[in-house]
Amino acid sequence: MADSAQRDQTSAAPAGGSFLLDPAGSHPFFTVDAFNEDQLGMAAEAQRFMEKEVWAQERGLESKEGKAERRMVKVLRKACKLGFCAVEVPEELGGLGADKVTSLLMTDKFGTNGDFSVTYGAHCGIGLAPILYFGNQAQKEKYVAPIAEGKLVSCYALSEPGSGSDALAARTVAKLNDAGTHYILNGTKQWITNAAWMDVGIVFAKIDGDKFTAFIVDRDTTGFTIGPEEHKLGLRGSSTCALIFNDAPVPVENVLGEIGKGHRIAFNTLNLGRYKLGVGALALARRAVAEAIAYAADRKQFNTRIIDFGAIREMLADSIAQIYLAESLTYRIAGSIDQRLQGLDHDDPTFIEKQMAAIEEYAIEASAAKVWCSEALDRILDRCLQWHGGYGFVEDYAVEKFVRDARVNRIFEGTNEINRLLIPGTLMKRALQKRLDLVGAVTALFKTVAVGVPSLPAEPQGLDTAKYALQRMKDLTLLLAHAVSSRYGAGLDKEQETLVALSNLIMEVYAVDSGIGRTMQRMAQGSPEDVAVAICTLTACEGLDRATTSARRVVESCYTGAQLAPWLDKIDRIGVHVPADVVALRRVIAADAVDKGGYKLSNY
Amino acid sequence: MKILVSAKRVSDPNARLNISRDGKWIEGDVEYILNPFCENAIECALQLAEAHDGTETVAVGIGDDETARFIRQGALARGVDRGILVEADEAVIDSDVIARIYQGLCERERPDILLLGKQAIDGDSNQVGQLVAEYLGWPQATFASKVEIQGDEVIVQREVDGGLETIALTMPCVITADLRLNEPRYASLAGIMKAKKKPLDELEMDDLDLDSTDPKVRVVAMSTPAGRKAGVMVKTVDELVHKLKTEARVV
Repeated sequence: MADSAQRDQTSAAPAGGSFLLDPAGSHPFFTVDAFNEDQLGMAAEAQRFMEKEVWAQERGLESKEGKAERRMVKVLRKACKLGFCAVEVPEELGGLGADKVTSLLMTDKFGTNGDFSVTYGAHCGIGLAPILYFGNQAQKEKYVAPIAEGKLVSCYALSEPGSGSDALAARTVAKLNDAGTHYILNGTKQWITNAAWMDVGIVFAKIDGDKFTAFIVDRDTTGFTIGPEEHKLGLRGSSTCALIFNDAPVPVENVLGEIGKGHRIAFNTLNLGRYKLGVGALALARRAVAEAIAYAADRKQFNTRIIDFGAIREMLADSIAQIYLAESLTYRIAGSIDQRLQGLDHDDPTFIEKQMAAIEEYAIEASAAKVWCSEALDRILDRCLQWHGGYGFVEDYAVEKFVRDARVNRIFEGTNEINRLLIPGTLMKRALQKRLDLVGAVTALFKTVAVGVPSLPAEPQGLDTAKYALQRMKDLTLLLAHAVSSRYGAGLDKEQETLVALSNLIMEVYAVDSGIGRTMQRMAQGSPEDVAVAICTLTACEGLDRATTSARRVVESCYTGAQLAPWLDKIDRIGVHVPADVVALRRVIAADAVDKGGYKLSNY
Repeated sequence: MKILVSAKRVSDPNARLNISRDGKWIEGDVEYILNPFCENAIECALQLAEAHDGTETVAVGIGDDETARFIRQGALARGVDRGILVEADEAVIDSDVIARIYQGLCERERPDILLLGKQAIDGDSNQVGQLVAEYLGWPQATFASKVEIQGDEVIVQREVDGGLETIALTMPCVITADLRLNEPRYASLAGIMKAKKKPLDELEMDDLDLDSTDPKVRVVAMSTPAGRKAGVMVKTVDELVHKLKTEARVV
């Protein structure tokens, strides 16, 4: 029975990008309100682990002595011993074989300390996933269990001094030796997390200078050396160095996946990493807000707790709202991938292909999660630091460290700019492939605009206002996508400023749609959800304001004169002003967090 | 050998508690954790079981359905073999009723050692271990900081004022765990997954054939700590010394 019910759900997993076309709540999705007892138990244990093993010594992990003593590796090994690094490893390889949601939950819990988070992620996320997905049987047997158990520390080496975003322009080369036994690697990989303490790494190089290929490289390879430790703005407790290959022979059996198909490994690994990065950002935001609330509830000025000032509560409300949306939008991706994987047979020889397809299906959402959450994090941390006053600027309080650690989230795993460009690009491609009926949706929208956009109910209840504003955001986004593709056609990919603006709208729609969808599911349980409704209303109304302004500016840059007027007219019809008392909404959101002593919309 | 060990949930000391409207209990909507002293007791039971083959460990929780989660996560996930939940209303029962429940359980399960946390960190009563030892007529070692089995005896090091006392007990016996007894382990993820497959019996107090289930102590009132009084500014050192002598009476 349970199986058939699950299979029904599989067929219901919506297409990636469909959030833009379907009304909010069309497809129920996984939310953090639905963790089972096992997952909650794992989360609680991971939380305990973080508090005792990492938070308790986080300044020490960053210190010179801490780095010299490799305290971080000891923590990582301890985590491995408890099974935290075997979450996604299939049972037949000695792992837990858990789903993407459970794995994401662990990333969430470990995200509260940036140093450990990247160490963990590089080791058993991007440093292990390529072997799990693309390794042959012998490679899996040799490497998976030792990495999962912490006997070998792993890393992932794609970037080079001259190639960051343009990863395929890598200059590290591999050439088969005369005996045909080894590939000889030459080149340098840069910004490699875990480099100083790596035992094994996934390294990308071009065979004969053109066939981009992944290799598994052991530490003791001759001609392979590790560069000096980088001095970074943040994540100082993690190790970041270059990997240098100088005629380094790697056995042919260590070629990972197919020769010349390294890009598949590189990009699929990144797809997985992106929504995980979103959750890592969310986790740090949640911790920072909790600490900032504690500070502001204790700090008095003018004989008043500063948490009771409207100017502070306004910042708090925005932070709470963003955390709620971030939770909703990230776990939605993992849940959808899990839904697609549930019906699959693990012994099917095309299982890996299908799994990659399921992950790729949500590439738009994964990029949106990466960008939206990393930028929400920086805004949240900036507010938290601000209300610490001078204390936020010194090392006595953790917020200073959070700010330093957070910044790189907008850079690695594909810069936010690259990810922004990917979003509309992927969307347009799917429309051309007829995987998403954008054309049909635009046609329907034009009809709606012609007869008149429906108006907001006279006495909106519950989520009415939020849903109405979100639908207008979706309409505007579709209209804008149509406006810019009509104007530029195939040349659109050269118009980066326009793509960035469109991407911002799409991400905002995805975030608010996820918040509203989750709130609908919560309300279906019978609770009034005043705070969640306030969050949805606030973010939808203000999101619509921004979307309207941005849409106008974009069409003004695309069209002039008589051609421009009809577009502006349509924007005015769709981008109606939705009235909302945003002061009252923010007060509701903030008061709840202050009363409960923190962000309590989720409880895991 | 068989060890019966407590897994009591307590209100999270970091959470804010609200006193119920009748002023006699706390409101139900609080966050709970496993009593830290029970964590020490569980760790001790697991270490003894690891050192002595064939030892069965059984964790006991007393409370409502939610308590089962703490038995599973706090004890079974760490490696305890099975659990028993005795259903009871924590707002009504006192230390004496809890001791009688343990008495009933010991008569039913016949363990060689009953291992309890020295006290629960919310009620801080520190009575159950002592009472149940009396009811069972078993020897007891409270505030244990080291426990070893040598032959037929249990050797317990106790923390007493000004030092340590080492005593030897015959089994069956009651031991209560202190904080320095050990460093409680983490549950592994595999352990957490296995925990739900382990047996967890649910009993009612009636199943235990207890002599008495009437509490002898009732809570009359609960109140939050009084807020700190405002300080006074003094102008001179002399005035400060004067106030310290006459008002604070500390010098």
